[in-house]
Amino acid sequence: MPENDPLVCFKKVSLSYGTNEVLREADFDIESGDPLCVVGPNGGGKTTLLKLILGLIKPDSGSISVLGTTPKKARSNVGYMLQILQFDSKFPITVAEVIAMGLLESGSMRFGKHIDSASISRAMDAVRIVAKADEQFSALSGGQKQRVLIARAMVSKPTLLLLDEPTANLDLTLEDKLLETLLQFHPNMKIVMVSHDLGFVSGAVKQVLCVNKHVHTHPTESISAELIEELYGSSPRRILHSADLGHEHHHH
Amino acid sequence: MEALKQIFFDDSLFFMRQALLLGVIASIPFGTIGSLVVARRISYLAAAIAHAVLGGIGFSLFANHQWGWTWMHPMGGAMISGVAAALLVGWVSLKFKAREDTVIGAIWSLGMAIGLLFIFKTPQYIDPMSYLFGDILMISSFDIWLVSGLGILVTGMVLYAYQPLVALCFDEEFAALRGVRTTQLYLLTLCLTAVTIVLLVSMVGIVLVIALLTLPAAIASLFSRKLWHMMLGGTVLCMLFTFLGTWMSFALDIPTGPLIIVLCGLSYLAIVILKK
Repeated sequence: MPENDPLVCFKKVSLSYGTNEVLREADFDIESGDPLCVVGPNGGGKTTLLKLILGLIKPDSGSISVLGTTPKKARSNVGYMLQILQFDSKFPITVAEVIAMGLLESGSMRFGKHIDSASISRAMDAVRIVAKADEQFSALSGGQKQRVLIARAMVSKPTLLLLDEPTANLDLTLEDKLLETLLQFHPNMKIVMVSHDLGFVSGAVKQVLCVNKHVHTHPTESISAELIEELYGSSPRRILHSADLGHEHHHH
Repeated sequence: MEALKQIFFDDSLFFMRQALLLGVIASIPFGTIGSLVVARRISYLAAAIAHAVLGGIGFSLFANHQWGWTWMHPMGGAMISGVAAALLVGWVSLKFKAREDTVIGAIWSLGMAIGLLFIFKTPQYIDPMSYLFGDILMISSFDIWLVSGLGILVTGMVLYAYQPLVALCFDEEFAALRGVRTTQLYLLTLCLTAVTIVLLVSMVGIVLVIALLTLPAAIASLFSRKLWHMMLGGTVLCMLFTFLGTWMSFALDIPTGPLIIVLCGLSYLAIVILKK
């Protein structure tokens, strides 16, 4: 695809789950460059947006292109981290094996002929989980699991990295440096992340994508009380309060 | 010990040695496929397939005696109904997630009921109990060859597609996003489960098949860090249970199948409680 084309392009995308309208004529581009945060109220369509980009669900109308092709065909160049940890707590799998899943190859039933253990080691190193490489995934703490899943999402060095609530369980030392760490691992990667944590968002990215049925792009500094009220449909005070809390947290 | 010596050296006890050998060889598919069944949490689906197989057995017995379809061997009928049930159950579990357990329960009981109706209508009397519980002491050398073939087939698949299988069992959505053909792999796993069940149902019965498919692998999972550790552990445990069960049943003069199930079941429960 040509250099300056947008990475993701939504054209009049609408989607409903039954009678529940999730997106209405969403029309936006995601350009390459700095990381982007997706914010919005619960049930506002943030995770749905990521799933549309991945081609896991199809829109009722409108079109989506990702990396110049269809979402399904683009998948091999897209990294993805799930939001909720719903993994079997007894499953016999080690940390290194979980990360190796991120290198599974498209189209074949087989694992890539040679396992790129150098990439796996580098990804583990980046999220500081090397010491746990041979431990069982289920024995890790919530924050450690989150780090493993981040490593799994980025180990293939994707063009586009989608993270759903990556800071939810992270310890603060890594949360502060999360984007820096990811970009150090693979500098040309476009990071798109969903977050509830407005404190983290305002400190970390320059641009936000506000999703609440409609989708708008804003520079982070333009997030005002009015915008939040419009977006969340509730008192900006409450939202800002929690954002402040997030900030306090960072200074601990 | 005296009993064991007798089993190995008494000429008239050839059938006991056959049973022991079958137990050892069958442990390979049981431990391997059993680990996939336990890790993917489809024990219930496997049990449904095992029972639905009776439908095919009943139909082929009926067709044999009523219409003279002598080419329709009960094992063939069981294989067709087993694979059909695996595909049906797999399709239901993929498409009707919300109603999965009820629909699978329906397939389970329907398959069994159809089998019993056919058996009832078959002119010659057949005891359905022999299919529910089987008899490990009644097997032939041909059975042992069949199960060896199955062991090779199953081991081959696992060696070929180990990583995608791990991914399928651990996180299917992610595996699909990475381009793994998860639906095909899942249905293939279910079909191999069905083939394992069918081959061994006729030898050891439905109930023992379910026990040996799930319990040794479940015990191994408590001590495994990797899926292949679980497969290996499940296989070794399965060998141990069938060996001990066959030996003890001979020494104590009690039925073999139920004794193996009791050994597996009690060990599993004891280990789960002790590990708490």
